[in-house]
Amino acid sequence: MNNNYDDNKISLKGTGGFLKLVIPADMEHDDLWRGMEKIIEEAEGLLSNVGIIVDFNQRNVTFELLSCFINDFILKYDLKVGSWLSKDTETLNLFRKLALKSSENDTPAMRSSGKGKEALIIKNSLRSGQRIEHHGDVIVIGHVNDGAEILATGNISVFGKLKGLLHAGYESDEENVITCNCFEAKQVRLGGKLSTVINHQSNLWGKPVIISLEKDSLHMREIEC
Amino acid sequence: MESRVIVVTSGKGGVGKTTTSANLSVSLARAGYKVVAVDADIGLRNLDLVMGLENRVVYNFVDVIEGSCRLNQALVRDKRVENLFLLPAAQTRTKDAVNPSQMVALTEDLKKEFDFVIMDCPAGIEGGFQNAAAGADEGLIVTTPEISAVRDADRIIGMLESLQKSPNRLIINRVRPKMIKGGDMLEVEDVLDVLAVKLIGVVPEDPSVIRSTNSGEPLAFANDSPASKAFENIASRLTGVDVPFLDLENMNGSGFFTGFKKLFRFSR
Repeated sequence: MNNNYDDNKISLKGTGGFLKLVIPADMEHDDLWRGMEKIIEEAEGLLSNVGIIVDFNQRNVTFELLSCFINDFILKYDLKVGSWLSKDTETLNLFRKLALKSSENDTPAMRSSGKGKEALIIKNSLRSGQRIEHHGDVIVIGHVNDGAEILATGNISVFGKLKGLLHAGYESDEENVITCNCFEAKQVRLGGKLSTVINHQSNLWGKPVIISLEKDSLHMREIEC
Repeated sequence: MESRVIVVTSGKGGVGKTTTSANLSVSLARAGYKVVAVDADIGLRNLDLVMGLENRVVYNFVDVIEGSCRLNQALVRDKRVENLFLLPAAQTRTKDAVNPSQMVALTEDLKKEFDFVIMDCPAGIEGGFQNAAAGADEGLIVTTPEISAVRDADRIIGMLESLQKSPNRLIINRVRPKMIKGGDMLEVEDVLDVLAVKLIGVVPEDPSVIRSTNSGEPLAFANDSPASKAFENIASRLTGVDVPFLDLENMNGSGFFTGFKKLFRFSR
């Protein structure tokens, strides 16, 4: 799943337990539909698993557009919408008339303890080719398979096997950690640091580990259970 | 019965998709079902060779889609078994000769005539895969016990899930129990732990596969080799028959099925 921060494209951003789908206000109808198809294809099932917040920005959303949007994307791909956002008064009134939840605060976002960042909880394994970018912590209740990637500005915790690539503390100055139940990754990244070559001969291979930055270098140690 | 369209796919090339498609099609036809094997690999068709029907190909499904012939004209009947047909791919065209919506329309037409539509998917995740998967209801993922094939299978399962194909079931091909025993090959359990989909069959490495491919006589006709039996069992399981897995332990002196109990630690 690629986040796209280009102003003229639909972007997907992590926010709490949801992914926020931000639709540019001036995007043409056809481009919007093509962009949605593309982002759903790239997300490969994650959208339906995680749930989304749809943000139409300043766009004036008509009933016809909304019903087509719901029919062509929400129902067709079995997406779960936590909230509908808009900065347009008429659009907000339409949401209210249809009893659609229209406040981001209504969504049951999960927050990590201590730092006030919102956590993204992924309740399935990540397959090869799937990619998550999130502003905050990420918890994966499953494996991160070889070829999957997670970039998070906060901490990353994997309950299953870690074989894919994790980058915690991405573009962040805060101290972050990576934890996993079974470490089998070739590489990890924490803040601006990249691990040296790790292989199955490492004494931590296959064990539960915590990886942190200590004295400006990556430090990996076994989690004593 | 309601017609079923099954895409046989893998992501990686050379793992046995075409061999699997041919043998499952033969086994299902021998079991009395009306079956069409569709070669969805436009530009690199092989299924006609593996099924030994290359001399009888006149039209292909691209001709059907373009309206150059009727569907019945492009279907090649296999004379060795009743109710088995091949719908060949075009060899002189490329994957972009058709699009997913045309493939959906084609499979809808095939569903009216056949109990099973077996789509032999090309390798890769681009247009060829998208076309083959478009009209399919369910997926059969073929992999070998190699890390490269398993990673590609993982990718393709993710794509099938995103296309809402279900169920997606796994065939592990070319298993060598002796290598597994020696620690030189991934165990079935390891493959399942990564891919987390239901296993429908394990096919042992079998030299007779190469002989049958070269002779254009699918193994399922002979019915006497380990691989042939494995394909026949997979076909039975596809139809809902509960068939025990082959006892490769005694066949080859290895105990690699002992770990099956720990499957699906993280189910999807």
